[in-house]
Amino acid sequence: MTRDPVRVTLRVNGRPETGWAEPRTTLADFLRQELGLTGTHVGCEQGVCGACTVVLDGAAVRSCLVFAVQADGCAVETVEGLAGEGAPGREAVHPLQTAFREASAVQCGFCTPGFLMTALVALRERDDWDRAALRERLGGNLCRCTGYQTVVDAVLAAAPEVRALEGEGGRR
Amino acid sequence: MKTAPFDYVRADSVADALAALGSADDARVLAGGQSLLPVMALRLATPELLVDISRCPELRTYRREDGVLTVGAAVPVRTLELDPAVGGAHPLLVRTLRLVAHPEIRARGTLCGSLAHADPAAELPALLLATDGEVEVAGPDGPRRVAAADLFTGPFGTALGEGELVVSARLPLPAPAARWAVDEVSRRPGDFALAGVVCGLELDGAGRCSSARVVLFGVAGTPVRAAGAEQLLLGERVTGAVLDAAAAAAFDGVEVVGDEVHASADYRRRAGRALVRRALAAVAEDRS
Amino acid sequence: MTAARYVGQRVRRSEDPALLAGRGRFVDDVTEPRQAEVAFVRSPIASGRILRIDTSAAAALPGVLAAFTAADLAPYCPGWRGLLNWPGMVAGEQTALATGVVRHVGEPVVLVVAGSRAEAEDAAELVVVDYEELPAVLDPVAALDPDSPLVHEDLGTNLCFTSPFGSGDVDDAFARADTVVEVAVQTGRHTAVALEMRGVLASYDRDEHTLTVRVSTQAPQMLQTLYARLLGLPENAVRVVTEHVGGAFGMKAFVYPDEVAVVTASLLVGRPLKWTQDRYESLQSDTQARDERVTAALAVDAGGRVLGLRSEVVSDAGAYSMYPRGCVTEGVQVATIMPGPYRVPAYASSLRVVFTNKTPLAVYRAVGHPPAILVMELLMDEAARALGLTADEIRRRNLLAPADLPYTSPTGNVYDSGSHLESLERALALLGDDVGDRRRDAERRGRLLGVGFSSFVELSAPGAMFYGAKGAPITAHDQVEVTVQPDGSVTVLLGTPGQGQGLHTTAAQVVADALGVRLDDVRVVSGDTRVVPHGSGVWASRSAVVSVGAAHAAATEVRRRLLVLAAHLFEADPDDVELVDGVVGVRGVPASRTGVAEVAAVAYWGTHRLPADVEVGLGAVGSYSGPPYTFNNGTHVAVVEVERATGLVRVVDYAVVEDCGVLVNPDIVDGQIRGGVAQGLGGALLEHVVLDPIGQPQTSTLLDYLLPTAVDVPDIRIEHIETPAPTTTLGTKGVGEAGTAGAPAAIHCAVNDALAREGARVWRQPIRPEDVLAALTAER
Repeated sequence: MTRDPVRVTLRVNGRPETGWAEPRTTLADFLRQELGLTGTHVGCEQGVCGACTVVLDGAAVRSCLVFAVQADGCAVETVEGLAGEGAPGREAVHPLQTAFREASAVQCGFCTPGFLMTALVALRERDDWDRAALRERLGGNLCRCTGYQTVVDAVLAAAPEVRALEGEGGRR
Repeated sequence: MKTAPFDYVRADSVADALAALGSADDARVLAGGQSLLPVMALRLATPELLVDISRCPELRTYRREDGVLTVGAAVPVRTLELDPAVGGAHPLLVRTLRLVAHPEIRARGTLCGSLAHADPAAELPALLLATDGEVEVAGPDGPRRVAAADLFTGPFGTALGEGELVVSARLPLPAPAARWAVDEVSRRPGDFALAGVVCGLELDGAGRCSSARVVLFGVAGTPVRAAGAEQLLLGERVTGAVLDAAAAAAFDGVEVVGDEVHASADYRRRAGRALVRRALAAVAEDRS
Repeated sequence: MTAARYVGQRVRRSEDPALLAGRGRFVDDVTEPRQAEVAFVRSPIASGRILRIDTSAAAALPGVLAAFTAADLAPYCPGWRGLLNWPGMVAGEQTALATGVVRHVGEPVVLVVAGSRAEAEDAAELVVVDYEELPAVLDPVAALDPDSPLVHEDLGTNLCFTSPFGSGDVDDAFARADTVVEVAVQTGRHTAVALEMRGVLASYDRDEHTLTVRVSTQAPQMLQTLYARLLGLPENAVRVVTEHVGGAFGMKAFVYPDEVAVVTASLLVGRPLKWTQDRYESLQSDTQARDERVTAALAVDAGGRVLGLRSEVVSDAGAYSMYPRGCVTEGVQVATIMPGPYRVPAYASSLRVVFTNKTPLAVYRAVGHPPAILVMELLMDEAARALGLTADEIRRRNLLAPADLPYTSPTGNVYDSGSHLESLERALALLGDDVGDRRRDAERRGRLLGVGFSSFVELSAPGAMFYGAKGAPITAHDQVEVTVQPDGSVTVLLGTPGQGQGLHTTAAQVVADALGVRLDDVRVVSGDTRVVPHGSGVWASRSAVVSVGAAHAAATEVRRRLLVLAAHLFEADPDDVELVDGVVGVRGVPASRTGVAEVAAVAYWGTHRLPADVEVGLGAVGSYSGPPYTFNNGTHVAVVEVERATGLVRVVDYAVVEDCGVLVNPDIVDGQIRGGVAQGLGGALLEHVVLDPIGQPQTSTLLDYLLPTAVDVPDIRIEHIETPAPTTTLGTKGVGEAGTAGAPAAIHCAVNDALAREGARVWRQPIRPEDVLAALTAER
């Protein structure tokens, strides 16, 4: 039993990462402040906006609604892990990232990492989404800039390539 | 806002969890945390100790046995939702789960957690009540079962005692002859219901209603049985006129609670009646 | 200038790769060594006197570095008033932390500094503030009663500003009218909800006496000036840095007391201080908007032609006029924009802007346009119903035609160009001719289908008279510096940063074309006041006019110099030298062709080859100060379904015809329109800051303050008409707010079209299912 910081080890984007967390530290704050992975954004701390969405042991979750200590030993995928390995500037860009750019699905970019991680899991679940069902599937992520249409376009466009990539076991 | 400091213990067994819960004045159970963390993040809840049961092996299982689906307290509802066996055995459960928040919340949130949280606008307590479910509780005075009808005592209030822990929920599987529907009115998909209903009918060989269950949620301090509607349905052929009458009576005796932000009591009652009518029609026509 | 190669193209955004990789640099993403964090104690009541503040328990908590009250900061930072030179306007003083009195829930009272945000919040909970609670002023109409309590005692009134607007003989118009229709409309208080909340990271260097403030803002140079003024520093000692901004929408264009408090505290604490707002704070302290009550009447002749318009506007300003834009702009625009794209010969409006004990009201995307357009379009529809005309026909009879232009509106706005009538016809074509079928189909599903039109003009890119002439440190101009580096690559320093619109990409397209280089060779930098030239910030849909104008001016000058230099090297006349796609050569002499890099290298490293009168280097600052404004125009058409049983409204189809002049990047413009429509949809149907009868906010999380989701916003079809602005560099007009301007009216008119079939209407936004159900029942 403790309220002091404890060591937390995660497998983040395929690599072990260790840091210290008070029990009250959320996974979102741990990723951002302790591990310096600031691509995961915090927009409400209530699990409502979806900006902090990461993939925890295969499931898309709100990292603001998980304490870091709860995730100890788990595998976490964040936006930073989407692109594959490569020399600086030559990383293999993930098909979702490409599709978001091609479809003009990014404006301020604050919600984007959360959408990417939600979309990644949605496309792992199935790759035959119709627009209405996909809109509902993405309904837990808020965007204030795009009006969502191009985000839906992007995810649909990326589906075949993501499926192919995941078939290879992904880039984790 | 950041959560106030608390002690944390990860329980490896129910026994561990009970011991830990008994060790502090203000201890709370942490399972999926999807209802608890938002409240803690506003410092509206500041427990001294959180007892994390999410990794208790004995709470991470669910099983179907003797016509009952028993779901451990650490099982995320998304697991149930995505399991075809659960969908086959209890389609109403899966339909209800799809109305709960969003998939990312359901990936952590648990059935037992929702029942223990007892949000009057939540779907799962209503499902438990409608289907005569119960919870298995462990506590300092030993295990016991609490029927849904006795569990929900008020908004966010349950019959759970000091130091007690819901270890599983027992959901009787719907009888083959029963038809069920769940529906709700919400401003946006995933929002809590402004009015919601879980209803089920059984018809006898003559097409008369032999069993009726109508449970409302999001309209009162707890999920509540619409006794007025149920009585009007029993023994009747489910004609349009009977359904009209049942829906009209659905809120008789129900103390409807409204609020300034989401919907007034009057709206909940009126939209709720229409919702009950629609849900009953779906059941009667078995379009569900 | 060379032919447009990139302007007009759907070029991919240069901003995206970093954002998609999770490598954006929003304020909270940056950590300084020895950074400490700030939490605020905020007022829990709407109105009260502060009797006592005790910070001793908080200060004694381990990890706490400081706890400051107004008295602690006052010696270093005076108060200010959000006063503009509107005749008769009054405004109360605002201070970094509340001084003696609190005037709205959420007003910062004590600033606590600790090692972490969590510790700072722990300490903030231990601060004791005793208040004498005072009756809150919450109704702006009752606030004008002589017996009302006062928000600011020293002002002696709650009336911030009042003014008539309009021209023409309105009494005569109404006397001659065949039909007069009236509406009383209320739009709900709402707020911007940028997904990135406000934040500050302030560092004061005690040796250099310099202040560096990283802040999520729309206007870094404005803050540089105001921080310097407030703190008594020379402006060259204040550096404001703004990298990525996660949405702003007008809300981040102000001097916020909490941000000033953090900056001031950084001088005192001697460590970098970070404050990252949380959502609870955002919903209490970000500027709010749209809290307007309007009664209006329209006089038309028997043919449905408008003879005159009257309106009375009461604008609920909240507790303070936020500096420097103030709280008056919204109300003024509600009153002055209302005649819209129609021929309105006579108009009289009266505006009253009133202080109340609420979070301050200020500018938010499309400032004042949504209520103004809403009222006019509702009036049009009422007049059409009274006369038995269709919604499109009454608009057709009143919309400005090309022959009417330029047209001066009864409030003095000049529309120099546009496609007001054409946009309606194109919108009708987009809607299609199957509305009857759609209505019948909806009816079978228990739903009433409605179609609503919104024809509008939108004031964009305002010029020097708008704020500057009223005494605010806000200008109409921008500066952009363009430099061709020795290797031929091009650096563009924008005076104005982006807030997510893709301004870097837009500017690069313009520079690449104006200079004659490849887009890939252009790199854009913005947001660091120590580096970039002066700019006025991102606001009022100005960047595509003003930043683009400045970028074009700078690039054109650099091109001129590059050609002079090349001409010298080629021993040719500059007029015979051409520059296309980064290749320079003498026209008609292919052998002369050489890369910009070769020429640029001479400008820097080969200056010995140049005569004395050729300028060294290849950089220039371009300035642009636009026309007084440009008006874009358009027509939206919304199709909604109203569920009879529940009153729920769904927008099922939406089309936009927009004319914002020349398009630099159609994808970026479409993104602005779609996002704008989504925000307008939010205001029409969902978003509402709700207060209880004593002024307590009831919408303190995003579960209560409802934003549109991917399910609520339909696919939006967009068509462009490109009527070039005659007065801007490239013919562009602003467009960033047009979607938000038009959408609330189109959706509301569609709902009323549906309800009118049952004899019902609604007059308030957001349109709640409960209002719809009540209207349907009441009228039956």
